[in-house]
Amino acid sequence: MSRPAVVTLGTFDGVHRGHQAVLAEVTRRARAGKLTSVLVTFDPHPLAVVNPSAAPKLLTLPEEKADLVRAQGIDRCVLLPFTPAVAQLDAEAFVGRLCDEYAMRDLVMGYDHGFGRGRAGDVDLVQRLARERGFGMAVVDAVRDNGQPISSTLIRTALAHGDLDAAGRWLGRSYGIRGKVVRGAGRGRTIGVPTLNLEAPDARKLLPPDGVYAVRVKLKDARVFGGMMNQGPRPTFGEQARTLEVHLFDFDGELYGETVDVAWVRRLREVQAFPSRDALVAQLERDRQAARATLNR
Amino acid sequence: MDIVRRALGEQRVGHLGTLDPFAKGLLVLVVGRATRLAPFAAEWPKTYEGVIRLGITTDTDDLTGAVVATAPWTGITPAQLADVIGSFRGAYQQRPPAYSAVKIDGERAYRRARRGEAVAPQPRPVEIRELELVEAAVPDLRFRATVSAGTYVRSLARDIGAKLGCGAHLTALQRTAVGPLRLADAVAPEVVTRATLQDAAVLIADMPRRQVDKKERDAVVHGRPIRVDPIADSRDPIAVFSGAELLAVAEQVGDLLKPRVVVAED
Repeated sequence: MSRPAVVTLGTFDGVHRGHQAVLAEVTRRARAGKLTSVLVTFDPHPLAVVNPSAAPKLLTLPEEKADLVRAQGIDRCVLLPFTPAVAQLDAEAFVGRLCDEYAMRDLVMGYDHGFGRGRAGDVDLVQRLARERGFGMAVVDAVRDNGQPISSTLIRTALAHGDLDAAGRWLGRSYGIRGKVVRGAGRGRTIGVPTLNLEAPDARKLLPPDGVYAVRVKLKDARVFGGMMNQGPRPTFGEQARTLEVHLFDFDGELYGETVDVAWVRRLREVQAFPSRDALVAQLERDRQAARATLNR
Repeated sequence: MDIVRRALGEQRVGHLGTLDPFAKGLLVLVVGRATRLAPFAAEWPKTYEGVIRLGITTDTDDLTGAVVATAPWTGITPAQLADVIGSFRGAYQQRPPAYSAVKIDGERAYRRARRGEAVAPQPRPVEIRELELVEAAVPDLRFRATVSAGTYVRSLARDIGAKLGCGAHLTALQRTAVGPLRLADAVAPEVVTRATLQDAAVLIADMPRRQVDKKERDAVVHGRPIRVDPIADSRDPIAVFSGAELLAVAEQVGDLLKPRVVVAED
């Protein structure tokens, strides 16, 4: 039997400030009781199974989410495959499973959390189960911005409309994507703007609108570089596919095969076609100055 | 409000929540086209400072009313006070005062109360986000509270008194903040001019924003939808800007962004 645990569960997409408050309560209880802190989350997103056409794009892919959650001090992040069978589990059976599999001592819930079939597992039901099965529970209130509860939906809306500032305020960090550096065509090098090409982003990942962005890039060795990124269509790979090409400032080296974290900081302009190589080079120089000014603020 | 209406020569003046006549502090007025944005700020929490007098219950739950009961408060310990104050933090079902503007069967509660009817408005969910005792010079409790929209601080005073067993009413109340707006940034009604008004965009400061180009601007200010990328689960309102100018609040339906409240002029 593993060490008894404080558990929370949910989709936690984005690991935003509301989620962070829930996770803080989990780690607080875990420290106080010398327990393991566990997040049980789902992959794929439950809506992708229950109602695929309404499934939102994701703020965080499973691996990104797991890392962010660990950075909040959670010991274990369990990615439970959200299969149709799991979707059929009623809330009571689900709680039973948590008690058995994780030796659950405490369950921490978000204020609006519902789980199990039909989202029947609400605060009232869990209170009853907590009494019957003898585990503790806590409900963490919404984190609000001027009275408005911070939610994944709200952040998705902000990002989809290009509002990086609001998304960053609600996430508690700049919005980002993790990607592997792949070999590109090397065109950038020929005009003096060498770029990293990121592998095509996962189709499930929510991207802000296409454009040229000031970005911050974190390498595997934890060094952070400023840069600018061109995000645009990749017509040969279908309508949804996007290219992400990053030019790093003050960086000289090879990163092929490395995984990097890119954070969108500010949109500089739209993607556009240039009449000549000189016009492109001149624009890129203006972009570079604008990006540096933004990043130095 | 009348003073401001006259000073600005503007008929459309609204507010984000009244202040009781005996209270003072911040009253947020919305003027002209901005009145249309008031509903988006309706849920802003409000912060107050005030004084609760223990031992005396009044029919209005404040100092303007008639005393309906008195009880000794001398046995109350600081620990008991802290406990009771602490127990009110968070959500609770609050009964508005008999003398309040809530409606009972379509008629204002205070009208019924003034006729001498026994009035007991329905309790409703409120949230006390913060509640601190600033100074306890019993029987006077100086406090600071941040509460959800729709909370009656008079009721909170009454309920604190009831829980302490001695009853209480509110003897002073000052509103110090409404959402992101602070009393310190407010101006007296007599000196309000066009120049002292804040940008209407402050009312939608907590909304996601979208920037539009010149062509889209034309559509939006005429109330026409613009085409955008669809988002699966979006129902949140979006503030549409052209540069620093707030044009409208819009709602996304499929791949259309439909202006719902237009504030910019052509």
